[in-house]
Amino acid sequence: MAKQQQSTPAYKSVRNRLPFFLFLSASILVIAAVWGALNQGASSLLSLFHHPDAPGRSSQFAYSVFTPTQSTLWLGETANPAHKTPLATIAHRDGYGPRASLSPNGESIAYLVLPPEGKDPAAEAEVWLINVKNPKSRKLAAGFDLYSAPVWSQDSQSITLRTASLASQPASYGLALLDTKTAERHDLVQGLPVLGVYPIGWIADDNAMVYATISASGTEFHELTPSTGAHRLLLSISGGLARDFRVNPQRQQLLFTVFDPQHDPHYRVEVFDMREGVQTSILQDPKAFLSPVWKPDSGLITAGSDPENGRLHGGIGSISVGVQPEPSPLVSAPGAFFAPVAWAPSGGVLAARRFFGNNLGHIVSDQVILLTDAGNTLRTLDGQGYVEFVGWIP
Amino acid sequence: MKRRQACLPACPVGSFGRQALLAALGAVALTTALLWQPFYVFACAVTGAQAFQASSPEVASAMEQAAVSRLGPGYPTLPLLERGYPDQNLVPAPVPCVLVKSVGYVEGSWRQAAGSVPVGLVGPVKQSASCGYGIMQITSGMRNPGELPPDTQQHIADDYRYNIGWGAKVLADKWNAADFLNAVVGDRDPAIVEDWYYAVWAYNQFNFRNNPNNPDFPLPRPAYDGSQSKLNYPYQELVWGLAANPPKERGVPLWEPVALALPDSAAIGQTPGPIPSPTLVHSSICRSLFADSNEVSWSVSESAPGNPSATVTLSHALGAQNVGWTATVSGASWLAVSPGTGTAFPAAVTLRANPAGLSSGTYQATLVVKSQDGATPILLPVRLEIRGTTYRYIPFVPRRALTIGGR
Repeated sequence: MAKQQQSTPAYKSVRNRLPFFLFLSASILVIAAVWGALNQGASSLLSLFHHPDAPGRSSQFAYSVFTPTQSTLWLGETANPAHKTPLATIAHRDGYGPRASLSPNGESIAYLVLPPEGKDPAAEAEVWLINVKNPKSRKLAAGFDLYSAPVWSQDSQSITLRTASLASQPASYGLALLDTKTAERHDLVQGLPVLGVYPIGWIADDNAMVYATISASGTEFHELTPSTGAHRLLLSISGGLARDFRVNPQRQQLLFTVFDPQHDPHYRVEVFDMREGVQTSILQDPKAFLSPVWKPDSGLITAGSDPENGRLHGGIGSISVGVQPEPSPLVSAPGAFFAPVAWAPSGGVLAARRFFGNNLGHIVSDQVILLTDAGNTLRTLDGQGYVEFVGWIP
Repeated sequence: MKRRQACLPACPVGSFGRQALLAALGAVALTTALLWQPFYVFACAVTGAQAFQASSPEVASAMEQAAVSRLGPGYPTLPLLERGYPDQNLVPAPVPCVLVKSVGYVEGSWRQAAGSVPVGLVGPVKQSASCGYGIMQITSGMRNPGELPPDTQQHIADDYRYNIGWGAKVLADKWNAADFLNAVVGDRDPAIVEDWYYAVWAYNQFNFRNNPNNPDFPLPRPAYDGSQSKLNYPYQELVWGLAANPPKERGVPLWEPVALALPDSAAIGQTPGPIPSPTLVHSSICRSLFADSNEVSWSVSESAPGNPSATVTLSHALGAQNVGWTATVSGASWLAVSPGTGTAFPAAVTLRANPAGLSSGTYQATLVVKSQDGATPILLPVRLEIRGTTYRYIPFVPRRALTIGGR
């Protein structure tokens, strides 16, 4: 007691308020813990302490796990395989899984699904929307082609969907724009008598979208302005069959592969500058390149390959669009080959498919893996069913 | 809610008017919803058909018979098949057995009746929005009444064996038609299952939707094995995949797996044309046993039943075979078969019924014939109807009643 009386006023003040500070600190910790657990799951707190494999900051992503009569959408984390959150369980017609797309802002997933009682996947798919942070699903509309995943506008306000009429001869396709808030539908094109129509994405000013058509004469890329209905032919590839369409993050360049049986070598990776109207062949080989993707903020393209591909020999490689040297290999593994799916927005992790088999025609199995930008396998996505990657949360 | 309760004893006219308006709107909505159905739902050839849902062994047996055009009288038969390209000749050849089974599973999951109908019972036929009927989901000629003879349309809908036979015939027709489009694999030999790639493609829709190079399908993709979404595969790859990975029933595969090889999709390109056969090819003839009839049935009277009998000829899909076999009767003590064993095909057995002691009614049994080479056995239904003694009703009329008038 005597000692206490000898204390200075400042010491007294701190000492008197010590319980308050302790209480405040504890409260902050508790609130932080509860907030973290609510928002990211309790295990994410643990992940802060031990994740030696994590390349810097952990990234979140969405993926789906298919089983014959229902599929589940999940939210995962690169750094912590144990931490995954179910977003939605989707009942569907036996054998037909959903086709899902993540919005550019990472807040919503739009998915097409053929309901259990549905009969025609080309015409009866329903489109649903789910909020990633507060997983609730709501049905927007029905009557779409299940085979074509929704394509988001850059402002995450609308999606483009494909319609198909396969009973008519010849088959015809259309594209419809759907406002995700009001579910208002606007038919962009209808009754296109081509072999296939593929919505791709929106160009820089967000006023126009790009889509591809395949006909007997080859592949064409079109620009469509919904507000005016104006169409413009961007590029025609005579005799070639294009696929793996990707607009770059700046939405000025279009990346795709071409299979052209009439010309040697048969496989090309091409970039088309939509502003300049310039088409550039990046890679060519007699054997296939697989699923090229843009690497964010790098000007690089990352592609996979057939094991007999003379450039990449089954591995994944990156190449600069401007300079065009030989691709620099990222990863290769005997007895397997790879196809990129998407780089994380940070550019630090690549989602890819790993195929086990001799070549494209003999694939025994496949899996989705996450690779670091140094080519190391971070983890394999697994689940009680067939796993497909949906997208990275920005 | 409060207002409705408050006015229940004596609601004002306006409230009734509102209710009436709501009812009318509801009726209009209901009518609109009903009429909004695609017109083809109403336009299909057969409406209200009822079909028997056969067991998997019965379906398998019918498929094996259909593949070699041996379903019996009144059932569809296969056309002669073209062989060779560009020069060709017509040959009597089976449709590959594994393809009939796999197509039947991809199409209708071996169900002739709707999914709610249990095996062994009759119920509404399995029907798709595009007028596909039954196990083989026959659509051609089934969209409108009269596109095929009415009896044919009815049988396709209500008889699973007919449906399977028609499906096998359609597949054979697709095989014969493929050369018009130059859609030819290898030497176009119907004995090679892989050469049927284009015919199977055409069984669904011979359009770009099923082109293996369609950008809708991921490339590359692992072979379909039933565990992946069908969305990732063209139709013919689903059939190929199930041929190698047959579905299981109680842990037993529905058919013998055949690991069919796919052609090089790059060779197919954008417009299908002649392509080489894969390096490794397979033949697929059903190893099954056949009887010369689909059913044995007798109808006898209870008062003089006798001992009805019938002779059944047994044969093997591979022709004359020195293979041991056994014949037994399942499910009845009133039926006997002899001989009970044999050493070669073809062979004949005699079925003899002993109705003594049986009361009137219908009795069923199954003749089971198995061979030592593991061929699919014969399961032949045997039916015995015992007609009861019938008495005519003669009304008893008292004589006195016949007297009219009286005294």
